[in-house]
Amino acid sequence: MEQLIQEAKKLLEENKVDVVIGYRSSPLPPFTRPAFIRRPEDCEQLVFNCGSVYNLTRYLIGLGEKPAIVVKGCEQRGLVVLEQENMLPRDSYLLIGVGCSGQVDERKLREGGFDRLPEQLSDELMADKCLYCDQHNTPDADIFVGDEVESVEPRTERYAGLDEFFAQDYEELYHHWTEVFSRCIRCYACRNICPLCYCEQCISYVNMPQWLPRSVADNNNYLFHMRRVLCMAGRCIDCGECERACPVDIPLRTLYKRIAQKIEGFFYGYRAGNNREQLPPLQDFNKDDSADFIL
Amino acid sequence: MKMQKLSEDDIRAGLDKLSRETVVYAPMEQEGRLDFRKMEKGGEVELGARKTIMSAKKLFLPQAEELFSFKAGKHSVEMIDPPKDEEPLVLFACRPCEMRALEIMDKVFNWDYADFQWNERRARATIIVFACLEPLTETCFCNSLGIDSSRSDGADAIIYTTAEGFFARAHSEKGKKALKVFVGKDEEAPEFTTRDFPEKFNTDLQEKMMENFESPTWKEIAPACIGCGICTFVCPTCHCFDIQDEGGRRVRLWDYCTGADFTLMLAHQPRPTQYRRYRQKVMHKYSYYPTRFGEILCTGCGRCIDQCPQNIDFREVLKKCNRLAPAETGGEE
Repeated sequence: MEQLIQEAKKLLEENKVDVVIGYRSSPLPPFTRPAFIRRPEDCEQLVFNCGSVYNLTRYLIGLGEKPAIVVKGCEQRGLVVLEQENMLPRDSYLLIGVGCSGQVDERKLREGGFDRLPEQLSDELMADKCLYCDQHNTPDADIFVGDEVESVEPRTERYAGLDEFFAQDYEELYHHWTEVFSRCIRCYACRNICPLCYCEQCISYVNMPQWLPRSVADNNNYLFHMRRVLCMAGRCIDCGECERACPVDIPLRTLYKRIAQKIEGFFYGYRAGNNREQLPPLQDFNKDDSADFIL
Repeated sequence: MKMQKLSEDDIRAGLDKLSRETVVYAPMEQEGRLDFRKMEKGGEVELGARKTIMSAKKLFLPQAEELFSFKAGKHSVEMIDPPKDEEPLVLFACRPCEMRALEIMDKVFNWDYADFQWNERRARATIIVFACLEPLTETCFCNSLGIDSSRSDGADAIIYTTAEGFFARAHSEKGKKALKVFVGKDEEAPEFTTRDFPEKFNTDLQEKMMENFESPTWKEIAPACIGCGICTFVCPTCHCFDIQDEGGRRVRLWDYCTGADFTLMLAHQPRPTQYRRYRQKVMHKYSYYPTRFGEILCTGCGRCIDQCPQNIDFREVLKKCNRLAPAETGGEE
């Protein structure tokens, strides 16, 4: 990643940015961690590999400095959504693009007792979202470092298994998710790690009146998560960070993917962040809009 | 020294018996997640060297606890105490760092006000500690906090794991009583000492941090912190709580200083940026608490490192704090 280091150095030396947000290596899985580089001489720390799992775009809102940021293809979609929602102008950051042929599943890495990243990332060790990736290279990059990655055939289907799973009746689904959410510790890591959760006052903070009781209890946890699913409708880019962050392995992507699948069906194949010109469903009204799911 | 020698079968049989007599909490796995759970019939207790996700703290300071409930009448308010849980409980196989954490927190829970919920739970618990002769994971650093994990004097009993089986020894009457359910003969036990712990580093940061409160370096300590509650929730010593009314119940809830709504008031937030909140976390543990209670509010269990979604290594944070430099200009931005 010599090119990444040189470009980052140049940006800092020429005062084009105040900080370069990227990845540096770590002795602990997934063997990288987020890096905030402010001095040209520290750019040597920068790396990019299959352990660069973090979606760093989460750090952009409210940063207060001009950044250059390393962004993977899938994560760039979040920047499009933030721009469409008027939260982050495109000229407020420099986008360093990379080619990414897949990221590790951090959990599998830990469980497998790996003491370093594999030389060649196998499908078995790969994060689920990467198996059907259709955006290996960062679009819209100001600077692209390294080689572009050639597209590979998806090994799984984005919404595989969802129709079957959600075909269960409502009672069964309710019991299933209540049970799953019962282990939630309400640490809010899923919310805080999300690049699209930017509300200054999340509804889960409000306590006058208290919409969402804070107590860890089945119905409260259910409410917290289901409310969040609605927040993500038409917005989730499936970067998978919520699920990666969850300390108790709640399969959040199952829910977020389901709502994305529904939106895609209702609104002309809309997929959040895929196309800057296509307005998000909530920002657009079309006389042909499907209305059979509402009154 | 003579100790009670036990086989794995002795321990499992004893636990089975114990869990029929009293409530037993022990590390148990569920879908790959190891945590302290209530022993039900047939439950398999983890006896090996593995760390639970959450610490044993939750048994003494539950994440959500009803303090009382209330009903408003026309001219009066009726206050109702929550149902009391008076059953004795046995906490089995927590680790010396977790035991130490309880002793450290005893101080704050008995400082200006004796917290009866805490004290009552502490009093009815019998704690059987598993010694750590080696670090459980590569993130353990209790030795840097002055903890000798081959002992746990505050525990009611301690159990050592060796290649030949287990050796148990009681420290208190409660411990003696609990160990009685385990069969096994007294045998001469070997000398137990710790090995293979990482190199110690300086954790005496009380003055250093106070002197450098305004240091610009704080901004570089943990810029990756996303302000979630994981590190504080899994921590055996973090005990900050919030009190909220939920319907007709007043509840005490774990709170987390890294979160943006911690100490948030209607018009004020004394720590409006993330680095200030992170500074609060470090300084509460390594400066304010030692100043008031003479103990560091951290036992080096490493759970915050294990579980941090952004891979922030608290040891690295502390090492950076050792190198805090004074502000050149003074004053915060």
